[in-house]
Amino acid sequence: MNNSKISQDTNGMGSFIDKLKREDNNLQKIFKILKITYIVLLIIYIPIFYFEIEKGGLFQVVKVVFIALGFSTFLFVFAYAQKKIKKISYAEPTLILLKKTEKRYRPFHLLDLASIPPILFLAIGLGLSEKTFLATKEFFSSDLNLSTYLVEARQFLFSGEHWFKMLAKTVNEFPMIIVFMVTGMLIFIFVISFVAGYLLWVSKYKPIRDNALELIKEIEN
Amino acid sequence: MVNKENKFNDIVTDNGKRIRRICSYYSPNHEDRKDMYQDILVNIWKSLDSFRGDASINTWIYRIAVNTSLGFTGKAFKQMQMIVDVDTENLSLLFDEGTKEKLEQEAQLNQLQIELNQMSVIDKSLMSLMLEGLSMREIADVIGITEPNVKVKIHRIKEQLKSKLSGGKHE
Repeated sequence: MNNSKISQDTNGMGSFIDKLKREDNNLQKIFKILKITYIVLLIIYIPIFYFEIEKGGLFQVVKVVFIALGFSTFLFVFAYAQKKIKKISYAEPTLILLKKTEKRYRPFHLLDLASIPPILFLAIGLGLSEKTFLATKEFFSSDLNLSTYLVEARQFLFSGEHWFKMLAKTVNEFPMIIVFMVTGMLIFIFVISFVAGYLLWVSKYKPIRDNALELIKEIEN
Repeated sequence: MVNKENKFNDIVTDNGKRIRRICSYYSPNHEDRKDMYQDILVNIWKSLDSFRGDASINTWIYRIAVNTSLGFTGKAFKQMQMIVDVDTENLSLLFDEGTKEKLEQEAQLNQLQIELNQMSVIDKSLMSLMLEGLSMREIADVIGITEPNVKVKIHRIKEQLKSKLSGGKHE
């Protein structure tokens, strides 16, 4: 049967086969773009890695190791997510499909946690330097208690004072400010991502999960 | 890809009418039915690679159709309507001998229509599969529950319909 017959069968819905092929290709295209991005980044980073290692010193090697580890872990998590998406099939028994749907649309997944290590590896790899290392070392060896640390982190979040210090290159007077700044920034990013992600889930995915739960209950009753 | 296309075309040729019939149970609106039909075909295409022949092709098609209809009606599944008429195949399966003739009286058929629309979405799906003439075993395979469970559910639905049509009180 050719395409025109298919169109006839689908109430003249145009080149239906083309639409189906596009559906298949859309996901593949996204994965292809990401793969190309990785290859481009690798091409850029290989000479950088080479020069960093050539410079010698423990920091350069550790930097390279963490960046490589970050990229590889991302790639692994990404490949796993792709495999899971490919496994979704409407041809499964309704109850199994509904249970899988309920799981897929839960607000939190183990896979989300799996994306934290690569982010941390990349953050360490990209941010590591003798200066940051010494500041961190000083932080851990100082007698600064947790509450003082949290007050400093909060101050960073809600005032521009530390940014100003940083910009005024007065960071040398207080090297531990780097630790506070990074912590504050990470907390800020995590809080914003968490709130945005949760709001997205409530508006977009929660109704789907609620429907699935309702149907599961009905089938199992 | 060509092989997949041929396989898909064969399935649409052999099962097009059946899929249209399932869509017609769920919506009186021509455009909605057309959308649902298209969605079912998209899902058949997507699932084609995973078809290993473990289930019969009929069960496979019905699974996709029912699952798609649940997803489709998920947008407003509580408002989903189930449409039957005197020409609906296997309508007699719902009732005892002689009831079908009574149903042909317009008032009775309208009442049946109202009662069917008040059923839950899963009960509507079970009814649609029964009206398609599937055995209890096949329905169990499609929904993913045990055969005795299907029998109990269908018996309960039939009893409710019978009671309501014979003037029993609504629950």
